[in-house]
This record gives sequence, structure tokens and C-alpha cells, in this order.
Amino acid sequence: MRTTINGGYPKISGKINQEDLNKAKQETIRRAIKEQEEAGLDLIGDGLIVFEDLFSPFADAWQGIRRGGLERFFDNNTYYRHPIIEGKIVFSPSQYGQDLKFAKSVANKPLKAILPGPFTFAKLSEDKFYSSEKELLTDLTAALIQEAKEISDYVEVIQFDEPSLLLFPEKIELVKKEFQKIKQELNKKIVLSLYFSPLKNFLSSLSDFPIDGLVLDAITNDNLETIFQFLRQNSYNKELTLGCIDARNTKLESKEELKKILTKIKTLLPEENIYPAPDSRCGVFISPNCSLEFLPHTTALTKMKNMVEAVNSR
Amino acid sequence: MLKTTTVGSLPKPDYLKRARTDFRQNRISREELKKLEKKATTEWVKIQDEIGLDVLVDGEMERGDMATYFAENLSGFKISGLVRSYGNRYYRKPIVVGKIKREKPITLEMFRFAQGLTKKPVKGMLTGPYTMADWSFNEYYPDRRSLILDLAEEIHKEAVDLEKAGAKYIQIDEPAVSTHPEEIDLAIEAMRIVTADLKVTTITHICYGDFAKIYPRMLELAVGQFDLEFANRKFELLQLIEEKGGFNDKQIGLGVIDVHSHRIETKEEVKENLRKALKVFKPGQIFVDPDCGLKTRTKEESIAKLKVMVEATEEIRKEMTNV
Ligand SMILES: [Zn+2]
Repeated sequence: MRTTINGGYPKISGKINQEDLNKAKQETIRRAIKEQEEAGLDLIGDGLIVFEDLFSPFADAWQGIRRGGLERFFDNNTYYRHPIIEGKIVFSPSQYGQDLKFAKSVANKPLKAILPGPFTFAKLSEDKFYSSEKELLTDLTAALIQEAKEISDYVEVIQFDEPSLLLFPEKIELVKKEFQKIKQELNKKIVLSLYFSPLKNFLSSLSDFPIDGLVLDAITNDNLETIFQFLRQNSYNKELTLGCIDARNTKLESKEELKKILTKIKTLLPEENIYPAPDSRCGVFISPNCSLEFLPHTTALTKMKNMVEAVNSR
Repeated sequence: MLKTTTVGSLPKPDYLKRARTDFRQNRISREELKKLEKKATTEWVKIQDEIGLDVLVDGEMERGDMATYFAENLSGFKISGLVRSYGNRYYRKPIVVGKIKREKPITLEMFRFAQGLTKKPVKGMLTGPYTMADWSFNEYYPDRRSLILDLAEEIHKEAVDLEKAGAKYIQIDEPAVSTHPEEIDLAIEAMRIVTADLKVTTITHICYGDFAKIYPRMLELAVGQFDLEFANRKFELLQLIEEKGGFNDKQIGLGVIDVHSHRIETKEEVKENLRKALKVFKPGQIFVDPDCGLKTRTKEESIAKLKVMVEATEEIRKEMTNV
């Protein structure tokens, strides 16, 4: 079993010095990477240091879209700028590629990139241009594929975050078609991250989703039990990232708690998932249930260390 | 009829923002900060009186984040390190580390101070137990329910004290309720505790989220007035209330000013929206106000928006008496 993060990482000092933005940004990425590596994570992230929210780099770079007012981000006491779609979405490379290029140059561990999924992007935007959700999704997916191609050289895995999908289970077939395009166009491991909402009655409908792995929030409601039950009743043959570290509460998981979860996972998955061959496509990762930016920096760091310790101590 | 009011928070003047930073960095004393908070409160009460609002607020000059402020003043809480709110904005979030207890009144001093400055009623302003819990880290209580119910008991004590101090209106903000439709029962149970035995008008303010999912269940929250955002939602909420019914004689806080926008509404559009609302509610039911707290707008924007709101309401009142 290995460990990874699941989105952003706290920006340490709190604020990026505006005077030498680029240098400060690189320094912050370097520190985020160093801390993840020192904590012992196997698959790390750049920490999404320049992201003001999940959409900002893309809303800034792409044509046809601008950033509107602040809106609450799901059920958190945090905000995102409402992307407002005012014209046809046309891709133009965002800053994210440059950041991941830099991250790659300073990282000793493989990197995972995070992109918003097309459905969540569409759901959290205000569309003033397209005449249907499907048209909007088509153009968002096309732009996200282009973005993914820009960053593809620097990362092992590209994670698409689709928290909105859990709220609209009836849209799963529609979204599946978008991910077929993504999978077809990208020669890269693609994982889908689902968080903030109950997974109940949802996991079985993902069985033929065209992705290489699932990243699941095992904290919200009774998701952990739902995941266990799903694994008990189905043969799961993709990569699984179990988000069983609570990135939305400062309370530290106890070692015993974590060990119990890890032991259970071992009984539910075949040996080759738990001890995957180097080229295996069905390994298991342990991670936080969502971005670590909901936590103060010191707590995020402690939680990462505890997670690695629990995984390594068996 | 058609009384005008605001939701609670008003923008802090620059001198107060600077003083809050200075206080955090130990450059000024708590007494010096308090003096400036009262100065700013005095200014805002005067402005509200001059604009002609009917029900005033103290403007929350002493409060930062609406949950953190109460957490700082209740035992059982500590305050976290910096957590990102958006972009480069950070805030300190409450952490529950022990049994919640109110050691002494929290909002009373500022309420009394503000009420002493005006003949108009000033609202008592509280953050509800559900929102307090939802916006805090919980390291102590075994489950959300026990945390929320303990918070409800303590906030009730504050509400009782406000009533004793002469508050005619007590508002209990619960913006988080709309983000967890599955926990509406718990929010209802908690509000019953907060407002138990109060005789004055009780209000809850709810914003964000998907109202369709909690309407009409949310009407079981034990308050006399529901203060909701309409302007930011193009008044679609009116349709929901009309279709699903159940509002009966409760009062409605009708948000006619978009607090997220720099644009100053025109008198005509506010009047138009008031006319629409009057088809659904009786004039005595309606309290006209902005969608949410104005603290993110500038002082000038806030004043301009409130003036339009009050003038539009006065013109509608005249239209109605002339008919
Ligand atoms: Zn509000």
C-alpha cells in the first residue's frame, strides 16, 4: 500500500509575497513538495499553490470564461469564484503547466496533477452562452484534454475532481461519455476523485467508468462502510485511493483506527492489489479525503506523517 | 408595514481594520481597540438612522468571522491556525476541544451600547448552533448532534439575556442549514432550544445552498421570521414559496439587494421586486433588507444600496396607501 495527497496543500506562510510573485510561488511549491517527501508520501502533488480555487487558472486562461463573484464551495466555510461562461470556450494554456514543470524539476517522487472534472466545472459555473449542458460539457472536456496534454509530461497520474457528480447521480451516463473522450485522448493514468457527499448507491454505477482508478472520500457520512460493502460484493480491478484521513477536521486519527481500516482493506482486496507489481494498474493508495487546504498547515503535516506511519508500520 | 432593516454585518472602516491588525500584533491594547469598535458602531447607527431604516443593527464592528467570534467567547473552544478562506484570504477556525459553556454574556455589551444610541429597535444578533458546529473542527464531542444541542443550550442563554436587555428582535443566523438538507431535523431540534420561551420576534437568516431541498421543511425552524436572499437568485425563491406554500403568517425578510455585486440597484428594480413579493406576502409580513451581511461591500456602496432600498420601499408604501 502506498500514500498520496488528494488536492491542494496549505500554503505554509499563509500569504504569497506579491513583490516577487514568481519566485515566491516557486519557493512555496518547493516547500510543499519537500514536506510531502519528508513525510514519506509515495505520490505527491505540487499543492495547487497558484490555484485561488479549483477553477481559477483555467477561468483566467481560457477564452469565453471569466471569474465572477464569490460563492460558497459546497458545504465548506470557504469560497470559490463563480466561473461565468460568456462565449465559446477556447483553450489557451494556463499557468498550471509551468508550475508542474517546476514541481517536476524539484521533486524526487512521482507527481499527480489535479484538474476539475468537466461536470463539476459546468455545475459550479454560470452558463450564459451555451444552449445546453451537453454542449457546455463538450467544450469544457475539450479544453481540459488540451490542458491535460500540456501537463502530461510532468506527472504520472492525472486526477479529475468530480464532487458534483455525487449530487447528480442521474447524470452519470452523460459524464461517462466525457470521460471516454478524456481516456481516449490521453495516454496517461486517469483517476476520478469523489468527495464531500455520500457514496451510497453510487459505486456500482461506476464499474464501467472509463478510468484507471477511483479516489474516494471515506470520511463523509458512512462512506467507509459503503466502500467496504462495495468491495465485499464486487470484484474491483482498478486502482483504489482510500481517502480515510479527515482533511476537514483537525482531530487526529488514532493509529489503532487507521490500522483497523488498513487491515480490513487487506481482507477485502486481492493480494495483487495490496502488493502490486511495479507495472500494476490496480494498487491501493491511502490519502486524505480531500484537499488539505481545509486544515491549518501544522495539522496537515501531522496528518500526513501519521498516515505514512500507519501504512508503513504493519 | 414593509419595515426596512439589514441582515447584520456592515463594512468596517479602515481605521478599525488597521486597529484589528494592530491588536493581533500586540501593538494596541484591547481597550484601545474597543474604543474604536464603539466609534465605528456609533457612526453606523447614525448612518442607519439618517437613511431611515426601521430596524437597526450594531453592524458587528467587534466581530470577524461569524462563527469564530462566538467561539472566542465560549469555553470549550480554541481557535485554529490559519485556514484558507479563498485565494490569499485566511481565517482562524474554531476547534471544539471541551464541553461548550457560556461563562458570561457575549453580545450584550455591544447591543446595549448600540441600542442606547437610537430610538429605533436594534436587533440582537447571534450565530445559530447548527452553523457554529458545522463551521468548527470537532475534536471533543462524539457526534454532531451532541455538539449542536450543547451549543443550542448556551446560545439560548445569550438570547434570553438579549431579551431581558430589551431587544425587540433576536436574529439567529443559520447559513449552514441549507448546505446539509439531510440534517434539517437536527437544525430544527436545535433552534427549538435556542428560541424556547422567547416572547420577542425571532428571526433566522439562511443563505446559499439549495432551498428547494429544505423547503418547506425549513419552516419548522422555531422562529417568527425567515430572512432569505432573493436578489441574488433573481427572485426565483418567490415562485418556490408560492408553489409549495406553507409560509402562512410568518414574517419574511426579503433580500432585495445583491450583496455580492458592486452595482447599485435602481429604485425601479427594487420597486418591481417588491410588487412581485406583495403578490405572495401580505405587507405586514414583509421586512425589506439586503440578501446578506454587507461587510464585503465598501461603506459608500453599502450606503448607496440601502438608500435605494429605503426610498423604493417608501414609494411602494405610498402607492399602497393611495390605492
Ligand atoms: Zn447570509
